[in-house]
Amino acid sequence: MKLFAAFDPASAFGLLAVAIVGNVACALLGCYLVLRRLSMLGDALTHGVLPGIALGVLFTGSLSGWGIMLGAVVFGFLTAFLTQTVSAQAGVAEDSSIGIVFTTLFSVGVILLTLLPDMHIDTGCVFFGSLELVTLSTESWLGVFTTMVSSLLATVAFIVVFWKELKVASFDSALAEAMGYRPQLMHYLLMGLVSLVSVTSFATVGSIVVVAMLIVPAACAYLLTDRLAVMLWLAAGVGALSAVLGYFLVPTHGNVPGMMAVMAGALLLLAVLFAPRHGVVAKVVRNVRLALRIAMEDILADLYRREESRQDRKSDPATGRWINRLALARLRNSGSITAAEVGAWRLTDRGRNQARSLIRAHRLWEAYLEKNLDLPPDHLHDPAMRMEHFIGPALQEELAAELHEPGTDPHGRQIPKG
Amino acid sequence: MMNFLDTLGIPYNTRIVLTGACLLGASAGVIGAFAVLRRRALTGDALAHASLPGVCVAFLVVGDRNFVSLLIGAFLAGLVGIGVIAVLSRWTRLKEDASIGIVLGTFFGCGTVLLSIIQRLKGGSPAGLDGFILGKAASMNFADVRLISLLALGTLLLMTALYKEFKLTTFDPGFARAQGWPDFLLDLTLLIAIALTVVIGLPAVGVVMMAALLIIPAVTARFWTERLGILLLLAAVVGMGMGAAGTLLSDRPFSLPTGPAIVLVGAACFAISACAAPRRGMLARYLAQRRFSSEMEQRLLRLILFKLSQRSSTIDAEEARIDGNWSVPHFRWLLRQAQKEGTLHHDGKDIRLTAQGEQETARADRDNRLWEAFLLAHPDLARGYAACFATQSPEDALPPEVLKSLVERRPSSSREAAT
Repeated sequence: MKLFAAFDPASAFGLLAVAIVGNVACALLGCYLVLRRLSMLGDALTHGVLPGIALGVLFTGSLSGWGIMLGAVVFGFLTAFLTQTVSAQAGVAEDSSIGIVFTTLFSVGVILLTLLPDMHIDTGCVFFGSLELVTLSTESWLGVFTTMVSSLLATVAFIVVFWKELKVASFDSALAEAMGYRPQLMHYLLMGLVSLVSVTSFATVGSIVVVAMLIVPAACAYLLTDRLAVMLWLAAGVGALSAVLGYFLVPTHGNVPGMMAVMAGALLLLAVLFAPRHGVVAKVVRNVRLALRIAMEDILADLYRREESRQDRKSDPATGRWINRLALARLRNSGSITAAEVGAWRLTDRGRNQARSLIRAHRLWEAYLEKNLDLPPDHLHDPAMRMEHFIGPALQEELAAELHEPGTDPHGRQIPKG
Repeated sequence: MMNFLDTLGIPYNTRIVLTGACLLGASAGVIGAFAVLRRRALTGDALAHASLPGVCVAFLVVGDRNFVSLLIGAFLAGLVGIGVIAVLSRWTRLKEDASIGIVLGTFFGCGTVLLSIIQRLKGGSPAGLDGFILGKAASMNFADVRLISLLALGTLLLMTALYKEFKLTTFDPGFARAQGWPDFLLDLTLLIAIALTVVIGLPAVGVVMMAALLIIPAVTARFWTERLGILLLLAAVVGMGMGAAGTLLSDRPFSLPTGPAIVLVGAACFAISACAAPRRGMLARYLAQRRFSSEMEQRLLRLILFKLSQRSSTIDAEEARIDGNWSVPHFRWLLRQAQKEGTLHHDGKDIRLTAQGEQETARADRDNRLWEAFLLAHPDLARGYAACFATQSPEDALPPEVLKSLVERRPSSSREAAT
C-alpha cells in the first residue's frame, strides 16, 4: 500500500520514525493528563499555543526552530495560567473556563497568522497537519527528527527526574502540597512540556490529532493497568504501535496522521472490550460468575430449608431462568445434589454441608440485624438473602462470638453449628 | 431591519452575514446556557469535531455537495460522538474529560482520512468540505441565513414549550425524576438542540468559534444574574452582540477574519463582566472580601479593648496592639477607622471606648460567648452555621428554642450582671 506507492525506504521509514518518536512523547505526557483529569486542558493547550507559533514565525521568520518553540511554551503556560485564574478568581466552572481561554487565544492566533500573508501556514494546516511534507527534503526531515527526538528526551528526563513528585501530585495533590513537592510547579512544568511536544507535532500531525495522540494511548494504558510505571510503558507502546499501524494500513494517498488517530482509537476499543480487569468482557464474565454462584447457593439453601420442613424440591418456576438451569447442572455435576425423582432434587452430604454454612450465615445475620438495627422480624429476611453469599466462615465466627453463639434466629429457627 | 441597515449604507452581502451571525449568536447563546449550566460546556466542542467524518460519509454517499445531506451527516456523526462519550465515561473507568478528548481526536482523525480519500476519488480538492469545519462566515448566503433563522425560531419555540421542564432538570434532576418527568428524554432533547445548533453554525464560523459561541454568552450572562429567564435573555443578547460586532469588525476598515473577530468580541464582553459585574465580578468580590476582613479586624479590636477595659477605664494602646498582633501602622489605621465609626476615643496613648463603642463591644462579647456556648452544646450543628460565626449575632442566626437553651445554660458574665 503506502509502502509500495512511494518505495523510497529512506523517506518512508524516516517519516515513520518521526511519527513514532512524536507519538511516544505525546503518550508519556498524556498519562499524567489522563490521571490528573486534565485531558481537556491538553486539548486547550494545542489550540492556545497558536499565537505563540504565529509570534515565533513573525519574529524569527522561520517555520521551524527555537522561535516557535519558545512562543509555544510561553503561550502554553499562559493557557494553563489563564484557565486556572478564570476558574478560581472569577468563579467560572473549569470546563467553561477552558472553553473560553482556548477559543480566545486561538482566535488571536488566527488573526496574527493573517498578518503573515507570505508564510506557508494557515488555519487548515494547523488543524490537519501534513506528515508527508516532512519528507520533501532530507534537510527538513533531519531538522524535524532532531526536534522530535529532543522533545522526547526532554519528556523522559522530566519524568525520570521528577518521578516521585509527579506521582504524588497526580494521585494526591493535597498530600504533595503537604510534603513540600509543589504540585503547582509540577503542573506548570507539565503544561510547558505538553506545549513543547504538541508544537513539535503540529507541523506533522496537526493540532487535533495531537489531542488524540496525547489522550488515547494513555487512556488505553489506564484501562490495562493500575501501576504508573507499567502505564507509561504501555502508553508509549500503544502510541508507537498506532503510528506503525496507521502508516501501513492507510489507504493510498490517505492522510497518515488521521489514520494513526483512528488506529489508536481501534486499540482503545480493544482495550475497552478486553482489558483484563477493567474491560467490558471481563466485567460481564465477573458478573455472570457472581450471578451463577448466587443462583447455586440459593438453590442449596432452598433445598436445605425444604429438608428442614420435610418437603421435596419439586420443579420450581425459578428454574426456568437460564442462570438457574445452569446452576442446577453445575450443582449436579459437582455432586452437591442428586435427582430424587423426576423434577425433584435432594441434597447430598456434600451439598448439605455447603448449605449449612449458608443457612448459618443467613440466620446469624438476621440475629445480628435484629439485635443491632432493631428491625421488625419481617424486614430481616431480604437483607439476609443478599448478605448470606458474602459472609464467609471467618465472619460467621465473628458474628457468632458477638451474639454469644445464639441457638435460634429471630424467627425461632435453629442456626446450624459451624 | 433590512431597510434600516440599508439606510446605514451597509451592503447586501454584509447584511446577510450580519443577520446570520446575529441569529446564530442568539440561538447558540440560549442553547449554550443550558450546556454550561449542566457542566457540558465542552460537549459542543467535541460534537463539532466529531461531525467531520459524518460530513465526509454524507458526501461519499450522496456524491455531491448537497448542503442538507452534509448537515444530516454531521448531525448524526455528532450524536454518535456524544453517545460514545456517554458510554466511555459511564461504562469504563475513563473519566468524562478523557472520553471527550478521545472522541474529539479519533473522530476528527477519521474525518481527515475520509477527506483525503475523497480528494483522491473525486480528483478535486475537498475545499468545500474542510470549509465546513473551518468555517467561512464571509461566504454565507441567503439560503444559509434562512436555515439559521429556522434554527433560531426552533430554539425560541423549544424554550417557550419546555422552559419549565428544562429549568427543573437543569437545577434539580433528582427532583425532576421523582416528579415523574422524562429526565432522559429532556436531556436528549437538549443534546439534539445543541447538536443542531453546532451543525448549522459550523459552516459559518468553524469548529473552534462554535465552541466559543456556545460557552461565552452563557458564562458572560451568568455574572449579571441569578435568574434563569434573565440569563437566557442576556445570553441571547450577548450572542447577538458578538455576531453583530464581529461581523462589523470583519468589514472594510478592520478586515479581520469573521470567526476570530466574533470570538474576540465575546472574550472582551467576558473580561469586562468578569471584572466589573456587580456581585459576582472579581472587583466586587475583592471589595466584599476587603470589607469583610476589615469588619473582622474591627470586631477583634473591640473584643480586645473590652477585655482590657475590664481592668481599668483607660486602655494602653500599645498593650492592645501587641494583643492583636498588629503592626504599628496597621494598628493606627484600625484605630482611625474605629474613631470614624465613633466607637472609641484615642488621644495618642490611651484609648477610651465611647458609650456607643461600649455598647457594641458588650454585644460583640455576648455574641462571642453565645457562639462558644453553642459550639460546646451542639457541635453537630456547627457546620451549618460556620458562615455566621463572625458576621451574625446568634440571636439572629439561631432558632429561638436553641438560643433559649443556650442563654439558660450559660453562666452570665460579670459585665452583664452589672448592667
